Amino acid sequence: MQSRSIDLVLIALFAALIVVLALVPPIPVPVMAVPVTLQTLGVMLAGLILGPRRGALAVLLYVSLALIGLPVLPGGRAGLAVLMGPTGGFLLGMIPGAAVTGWLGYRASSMGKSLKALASNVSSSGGSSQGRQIFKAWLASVSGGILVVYAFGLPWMTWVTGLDPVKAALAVLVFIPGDIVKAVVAAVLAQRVAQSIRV
Amino acid sequence: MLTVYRPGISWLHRLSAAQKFIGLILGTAILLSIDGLFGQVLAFGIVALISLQTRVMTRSTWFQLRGLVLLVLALGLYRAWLQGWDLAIVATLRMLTLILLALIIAASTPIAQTMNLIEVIIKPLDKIPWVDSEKIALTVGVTLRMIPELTLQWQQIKEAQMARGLDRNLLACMVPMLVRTLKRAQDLADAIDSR
Repeated sequence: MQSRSIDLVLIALFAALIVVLALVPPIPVPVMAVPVTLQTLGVMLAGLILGPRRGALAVLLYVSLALIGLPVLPGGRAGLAVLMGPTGGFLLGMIPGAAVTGWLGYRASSMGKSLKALASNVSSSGGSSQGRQIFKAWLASVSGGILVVYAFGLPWMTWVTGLDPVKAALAVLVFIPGDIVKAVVAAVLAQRVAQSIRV
Repeated sequence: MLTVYRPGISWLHRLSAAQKFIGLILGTAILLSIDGLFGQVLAFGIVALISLQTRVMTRSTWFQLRGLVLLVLALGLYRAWLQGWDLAIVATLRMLTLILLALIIAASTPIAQTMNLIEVIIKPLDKIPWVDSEKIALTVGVTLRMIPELTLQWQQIKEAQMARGLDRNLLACMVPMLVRTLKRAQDLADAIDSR
């Protein structure tokens, strides 16, 4: 398969975007006590905006940067140490997570059309009703960005720590509401960006 | 940009990246196969000694590591409560040793060396039809170059939205962030193609 330079650049820029989102001080969310960073928002957006293949590659690149020791994880952490730790599975799970988000939500967000329009300077026409598009993109973000990520993260956590799966699930439950909110934001963003890119 | 790398002249720094990563893999296998408390204490002692002797364990390294260690200890307590102290201590110690081992390897290996090692490792992948190690290198290069650019872009957007009282509105900050990033991608791709 011949990859065009726009694909390479999009992958590179989204990996960089996830780094920035993971490192910037999070916008404070008053109702939630747990620290919420925008890292997973970046992963969902990579899937929704770039599609399954490029989205997963962008996240793969981001994870690789973290593993070779660049401090690109939330809080400036980095390195194999994180992979060895209890949360390593969540990090790895983001790669298939972006793929699933993209697979389910790429067309819903009509990003495919818009990116083509961006590449060829042709304006695209809007798809089906906005609400339905946003809902589909939200479902895709929840499936990929939450279900798939936790499907990797939790078994890893139980394996590394030897915790009972149910108990481990309870321990990470506090992060779920924030993730659901981020899925909403990702879905709305993908829809708005699809609209505003008509070069 | 900050890295976990700490320059030094110890024997650990002089080992090649390949040697250290093989060591990491072997060390992990050994640690996972030790079940006794004594073995784990010994392993932790050895790795801790190396980290002190080679001076990779500095105050700033500890600062980066602190959150992870606290998380592991909290999980250890949770586990002790569920399964008893014996199992919890062995498992927690094993995890701390693994983290410390990975840390001393990351802290004694410059990023450039690690990248070279990765280039060597991914070179054989060229035989797979759709993989091109040069393109991978280009993509990694663009990413590293763009991280500071996008950080600056984010700060500009936040400042602009602050003037409108929208800096706490995630959507108001993210929409221009994404649109500008996609436009930038187009410009970069054009630049690469026209070269």
